[in-house]
Amino acid sequence: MSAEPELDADRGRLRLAEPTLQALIAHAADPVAAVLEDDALPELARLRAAGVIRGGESHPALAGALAAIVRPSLCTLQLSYDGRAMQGWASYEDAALLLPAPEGADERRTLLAVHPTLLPGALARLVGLAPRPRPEGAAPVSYEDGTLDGVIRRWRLEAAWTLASGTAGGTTLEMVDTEGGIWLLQPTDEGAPMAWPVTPTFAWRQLVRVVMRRDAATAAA
Amino acid sequence: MSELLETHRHSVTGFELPVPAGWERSEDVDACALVTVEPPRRDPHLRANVVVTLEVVPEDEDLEGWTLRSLAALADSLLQAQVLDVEALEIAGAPARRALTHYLHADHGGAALEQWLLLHRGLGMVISCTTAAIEYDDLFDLTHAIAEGLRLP
Repeated sequence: MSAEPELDADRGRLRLAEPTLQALIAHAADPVAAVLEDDALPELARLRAAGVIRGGESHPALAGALAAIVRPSLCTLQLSYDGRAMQGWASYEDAALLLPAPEGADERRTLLAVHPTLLPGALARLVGLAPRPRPEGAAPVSYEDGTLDGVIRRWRLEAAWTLASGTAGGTTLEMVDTEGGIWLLQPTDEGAPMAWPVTPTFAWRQLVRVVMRRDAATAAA
Repeated sequence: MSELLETHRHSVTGFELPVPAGWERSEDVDACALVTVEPPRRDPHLRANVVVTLEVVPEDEDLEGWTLRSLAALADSLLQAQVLDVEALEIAGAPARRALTHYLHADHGGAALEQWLLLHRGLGMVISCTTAAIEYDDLFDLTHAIAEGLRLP
């Protein structure tokens, strides 16, 4: 049995369990087909009781986010950080983030409706992007755990998209944030990735590029 | 974005800054030495802009202290301000700081504010470049060319 969903419409937030989320997405994609699935009926009842679905439609605070999940015309995102994972979906008009459950809480995750222009900032906040020293004379190093001192976190952002032509694309950005500076990880043929000293401004530019598929596609070309 | 830059010489203090030709330009905005704004586009959007301010800095305050105080003040004037980077560098032959901040613009969503701060003849000069967050990368070369092109009298 799933925990009950909790809607905070003013903040565009919905805490919900995985089965409830799947029912909500199915309902957003095809409300008629969703109610024909026996397994979904208890979840849809919970969503109605919580005010998430009203009159057969999703609450306006979440409708755009759900549309982005159903049709992520800009990109989908997967962010791994601190042993946790966040998913994202973006169209040019709307975006949604699915944040991991807080530590020590129940299994419900938080679905957050955001405007696409806020995605880079939201990602920067999640990975704790902040001023860091510039290591003097730092050179790229072959990276393995323990190579760099003072590691704050290692994070990895993956983006995927499908162009109007049907061509699929994607890109990955991986960083190690340390007290002494921030490092970009790049895969090598030898196995261990190379760590390159970069700056928070560089990381921010890359976050913007990942979200803005046009630039990511250009960069990958 | 490719923009032709032309030098603007401030009518009172004499500093020179390369600014995009065709951008609106004014020295008559309250509390600002110079404001230059990208022309409107067809769609509603955050118009990229460059603002130069000059202020008296207490004699006992150095560049680092003034920078930290200025950045702390952003939290009072901007929604959800998040300082992303601070860098020590030199522009116009003077020690300076560059600070990058993300904040929530009430009308246009995510915005990036990049500032260059330096002290000159007892005045603190701030060159502030604001862009939509998702256009930061597109406008990076332009805004850096503007700030790094500063010439002091």
